[in-house]
Amino acid sequence: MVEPELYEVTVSNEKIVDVDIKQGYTHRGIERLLATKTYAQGVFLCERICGFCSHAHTTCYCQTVEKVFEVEPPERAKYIRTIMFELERLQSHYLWTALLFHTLGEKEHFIKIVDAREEIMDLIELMCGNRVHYGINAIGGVRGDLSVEMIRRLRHALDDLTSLSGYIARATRELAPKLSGIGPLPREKALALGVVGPVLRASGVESDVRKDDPYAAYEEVDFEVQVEDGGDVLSRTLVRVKETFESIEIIRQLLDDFPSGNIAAEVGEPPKEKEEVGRVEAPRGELIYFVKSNGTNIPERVKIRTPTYMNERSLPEMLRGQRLSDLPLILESIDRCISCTNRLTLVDQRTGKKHQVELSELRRGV
Amino acid sequence: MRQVNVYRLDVGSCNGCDIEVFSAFARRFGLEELGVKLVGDPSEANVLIVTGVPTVKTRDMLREVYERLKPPRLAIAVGACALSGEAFEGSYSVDGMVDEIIHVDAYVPGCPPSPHAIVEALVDVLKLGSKAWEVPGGFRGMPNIDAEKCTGCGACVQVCPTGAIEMVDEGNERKVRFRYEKCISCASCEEACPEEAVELGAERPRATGDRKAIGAEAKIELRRCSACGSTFAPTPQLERTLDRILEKKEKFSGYRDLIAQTMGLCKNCRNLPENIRKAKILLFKLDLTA
Ligand code: SF4
Ligand code: SF4
Ligand code: SF4
Repeated sequence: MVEPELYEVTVSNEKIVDVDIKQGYTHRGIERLLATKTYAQGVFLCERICGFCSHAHTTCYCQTVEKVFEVEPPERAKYIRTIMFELERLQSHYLWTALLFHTLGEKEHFIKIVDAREEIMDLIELMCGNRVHYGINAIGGVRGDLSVEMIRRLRHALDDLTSLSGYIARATRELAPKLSGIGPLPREKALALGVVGPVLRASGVESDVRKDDPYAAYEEVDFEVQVEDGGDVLSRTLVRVKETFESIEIIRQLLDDFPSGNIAAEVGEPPKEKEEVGRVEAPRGELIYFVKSNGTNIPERVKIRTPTYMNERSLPEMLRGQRLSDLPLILESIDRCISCTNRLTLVDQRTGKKHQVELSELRRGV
Repeated sequence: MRQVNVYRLDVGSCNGCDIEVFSAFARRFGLEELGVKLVGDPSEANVLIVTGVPTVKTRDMLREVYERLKPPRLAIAVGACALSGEAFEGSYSVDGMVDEIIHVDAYVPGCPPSPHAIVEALVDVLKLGSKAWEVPGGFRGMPNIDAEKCTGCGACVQVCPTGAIEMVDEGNERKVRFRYEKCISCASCEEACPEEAVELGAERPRATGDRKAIGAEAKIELRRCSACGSTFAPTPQLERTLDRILEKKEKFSGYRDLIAQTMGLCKNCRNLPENIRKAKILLFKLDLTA
């Protein structure tokens, strides 16, 4: 919805023939910067890679650095990390559904979800002191504890969110005909292209780091990986909507047996030469960090692989042969950000002529 | 302006600010009632909200988009990145500040600023009245500094992840300055300060017309060397150190003045043979008492 990118789309008779994606508009050189900041400062920098999955980034970074330092965070810290992780997934998936309805021109659903999502944001602000970059993770644990009052409010909010998810599920069913069969990505293609997260699960592949390689407190909870077989925009929507119910359940379980104790472990000296890889299931899929130490308090190298980087590769496959007017919907379906990609270059296959249009114009029919 | 159309442009953000600009249009904030709406095309807009730090690839785009706006063509920079480049200043792919590329009418500090602050800024710039909201307990605002407690030790400067804290010595004074335009309210400074001189404010940061003007500052006296007269260390830091020594070793209290004299010399003068000798004698005496 928000990052600028340029698409060069080749069309013939209103049908998409080919797509070329030009990236790098928001490249800020973060990996390089990370090798100039201390491990502790790096947490805040990683957090600022993405406003949607800031907690996924800090958790993955902290967990990988903790492996390098051989430190184990206390149980309570792991639970808090996991609770925040699922709250983040909830607000991210909700905003995504809101934007999907917006793309479909369903203003009422859009407004309802954006308004209801504010309840989670208020809660996150109360728990972390900030709505977007929580600042709660630290190497060795977390920086803030959850009070009894916060837990009470959280439980209460979960009930409201269950009904919000129910509302979204009903709306999705109503609109299913508009989503079904659009932007197909068959299972084999999804695997060959290496897509991750809800996009992969919507093409019938059961894959979720939370289950396959449990981290934080995911081993302690009972939940199901949501899979759909359609491989289209409808399946991608259903996977995310069903995941919101799972997230709510996960948080409930964590609150039910919330352990007591410390929230941060002592961190020792940085080891000489050591490297580790860590991964988590961010709202958009598998996120991977590589961290290498050199004995100083600044890492030698940090390498990050984000989910959208993988998922974006599937766009040409999903778009080829589709109607030009479905382009915004398909872009939206992989949960990447588009609305300020107001530059879309259309190339007419017969004449080779190029012209730039606004994405919003496509729906009005160019 | 009767109809206010806002166009949001991301020139290199993490999405955080964009999410909050978006959230500012949730019904609870009442922008729609005031006739303010988001539009998807800059040539329909008369207000521009810029988020992020300009990169080599977006710099020209920012100027182009600004030029397409309708009058009165107001621009609001939202978030630490758009104000000062935040932690990304100096990165190889970052190219200048927003206000070096276009004229900016208001700046909203924070990382990201909450929608409340963005709405306040819009309402302010557009002269639509005023809006205010309650802040929850534990909110992390901008750091305040207690000049009475600060010793100018620089621990906060070391830990700040964005380089928001500056320490400069001028004449008899050391200035510790917190630049809000760069601050992300992470509280690392508050945690690191040995004197408990820093505390994050509980208010939401407000918009400003001058990004450089917002901040907090403590001025600390620098001690002049009793021998050569050059400044060498903050006075409160020397006093605090002396107090700590005497707290630990009460028996030394009879030597307070002598210790203070030795500490009153700068590094160069302390290393003169004459002064080394004096220091050795003092140490010897202290050893005897202990
Ligand atoms: S100011 Fe903070 S939230 Fe806004 S774009 Fe920069 S890093 Fe992201
Ligand atoms: S809160 Fe303190 S440490 Fe954090 S960015 Fe602001 S000045 Fe720097
Ligand atoms: S604010 Fe605290 S940490 Fe910073 S210079 Fe002053 S005493 Fe040191």
